[in-house]
Amino acid sequence: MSTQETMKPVIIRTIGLEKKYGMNDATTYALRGVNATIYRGEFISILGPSGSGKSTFFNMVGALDAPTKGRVLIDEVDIAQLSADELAFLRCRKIGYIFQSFNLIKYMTALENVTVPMSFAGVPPEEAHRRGMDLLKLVGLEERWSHRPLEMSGGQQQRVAIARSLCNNPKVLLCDEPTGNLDLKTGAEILEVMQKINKEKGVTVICATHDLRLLNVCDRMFWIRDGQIEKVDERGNIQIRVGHIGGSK
Amino acid sequence: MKPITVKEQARLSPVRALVLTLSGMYYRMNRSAITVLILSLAVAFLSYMLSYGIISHDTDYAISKEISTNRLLNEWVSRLSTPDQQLSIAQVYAGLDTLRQHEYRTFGVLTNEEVLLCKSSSEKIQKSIHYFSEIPRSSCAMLVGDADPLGVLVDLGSAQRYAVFEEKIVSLKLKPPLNDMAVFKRFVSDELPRTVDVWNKIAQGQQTAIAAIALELDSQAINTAFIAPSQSFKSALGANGFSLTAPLYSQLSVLATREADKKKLLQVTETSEIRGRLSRMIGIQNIRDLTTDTIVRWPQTVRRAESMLEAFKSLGIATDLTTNRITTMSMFYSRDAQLQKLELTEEIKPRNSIFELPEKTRWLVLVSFLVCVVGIANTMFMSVTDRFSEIATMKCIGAMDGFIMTLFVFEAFFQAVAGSLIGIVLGIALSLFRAWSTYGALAFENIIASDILLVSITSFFIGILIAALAAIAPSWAAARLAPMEAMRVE
Repeated sequence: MSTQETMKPVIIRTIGLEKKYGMNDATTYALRGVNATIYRGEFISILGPSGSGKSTFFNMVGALDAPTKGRVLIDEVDIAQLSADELAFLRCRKIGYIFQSFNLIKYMTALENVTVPMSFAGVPPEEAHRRGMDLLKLVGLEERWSHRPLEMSGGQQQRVAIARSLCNNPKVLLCDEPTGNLDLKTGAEILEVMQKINKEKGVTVICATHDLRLLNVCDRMFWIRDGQIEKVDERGNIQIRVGHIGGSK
Repeated sequence: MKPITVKEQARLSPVRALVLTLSGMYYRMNRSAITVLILSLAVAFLSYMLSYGIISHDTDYAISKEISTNRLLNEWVSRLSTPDQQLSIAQVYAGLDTLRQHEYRTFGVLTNEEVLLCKSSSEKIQKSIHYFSEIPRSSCAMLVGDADPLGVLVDLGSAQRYAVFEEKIVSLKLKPPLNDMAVFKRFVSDELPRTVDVWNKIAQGQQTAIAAIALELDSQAINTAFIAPSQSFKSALGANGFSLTAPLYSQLSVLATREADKKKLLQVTETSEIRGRLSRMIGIQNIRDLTTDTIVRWPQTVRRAESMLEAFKSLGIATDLTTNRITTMSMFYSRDAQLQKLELTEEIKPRNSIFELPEKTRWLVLVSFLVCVVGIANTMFMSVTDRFSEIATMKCIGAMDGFIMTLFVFEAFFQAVAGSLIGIVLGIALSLFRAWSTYGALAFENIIASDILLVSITSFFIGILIAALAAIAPSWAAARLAPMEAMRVE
């Protein structure tokens, strides 16, 4: 870790993170003591083959799952110490989630989907409506605010999901294969939006992905294998390789 | 480490939850419909059982009362011609008919001890007869055979027969009658013979009274005497110990009038000429098929009675019957025949509550009920698993456990209300339909609307209760899911 990085404020830190599934003989370790530090405003990619513990790490960092051992500190708060309602608070305000399958609520319009988290956070309806429309404008969907998820394309749904994830001004945006269900072009558009958010709003973005285009965008990438961080690359180190792949296209 | 407070985390208002629930239910219309359907079937079954139970009971009760009223004339004619049977005397003393008990006391000039004797033996007789009906049928055949059970008991007064009887009881390995062989032996060898003596005294007294009445009637038939009972007839009955009340006299008068009218009608339709005319009018091909019952039950409408009277007139048959009397009589006998057809064998007692179901039905209700609870619990569980990803999403964007729980409780509540209402309508309609198909129009004469309403309300609340029971566990499970666990299911 360079001195320059240590000066940046830390947003997420994991200390000896372990997670095992099953009991007794059938126990399998998904994570075996992961120590990681993520700084504010970074764009992080988490890479690794399936079964490597990538998703588990992602869930821990996103306060979606409790670790078996070790600690996860999000904005200096140990999530293991939090009650169910406090976790709800944390998820509502500090973290935005974007999923591979969009996970919009199917019986709500785009605008309603965006405003629900705000109503959970106690934002008055008028303000929620205004902010919701602003966010839809940000992702270029203000025209389609009254459409339901099933009336929209995958890319549009993912953009609604991004708008929703941003509505309570989170500090961290967690993306699980955000481009996995999208075609190349739409995927690129979504990446553009994410990059914009990272750069303009200074939101920390953490992406679990297989999409190599993300490497072009991110600051650092965590390679996970067998439940441990195998290596951490900075974008500078890998630029050439990505360029190589880009050149062969 | 920074402390965290959740004070600001808003709890959504129930209205908001309500709107969310309703739009969610609308979106998952099919699933909701299935839940509502299963619930409504459960409630329909319950309300049907209860409602049909009370309708059929009330109808049976009314019918049995009407039948016994219709039999009053025959009963009194026979009581005024021959003394009462031993069994009916025993039944009177076992029951609460104090008027009749008083009557017997007058007939037999009984002392208090004799009355008490009659009462205590009547009780034992009932128990013994019940005992015969309780033991296995083959054993009963060995003990009683075709004979009348009371006669068998009376016969046991002879020591020889008793010895044979006791031997049979022992060899058949039956429990002793009256729970104690010694008590039973004392009863049949001592108490019962003394009771029979009292009965004979009563019968003799009744015989004397009958003779006195016959003298008073002076060869007039008893039933005609009841049409318009003269004061002297009434006082003769009273003086000889028969206790008839004023309403009873008027009932008997109506019944006697109808019977007299029936006799008259049958008299004037005896000739083959008029029978031919009648069978053409009624539409019967063969004159031999024209039974007296048909003649009596046919002229129920004024038009039919009029045409009948016209036929009499054209054939020169004189009669003092009017259309009104003919239709009244005809309707009475048709209805009586209809009541007879229902074949009510046992005496029906008035009902105390709406839950007086027969033992068998009660089990049926209980078992099917459990099945319904399981069925509904299953559908509720399905609707939770269906929505795992929705719940997960909700939790990811900051919904608290309580809110998720509220959503499911609301949903269950709406489904419960809808299901219960549909079920009640279905169940009551079904019970009315069945009552109609069993009793015909008779069923609708004795429906107590307030009881049906009570059944509806009861079923409604039980429906809500089942839904609540079935919804609690799944809602709890749904609310407690970790968001990632919920996601994984997808």
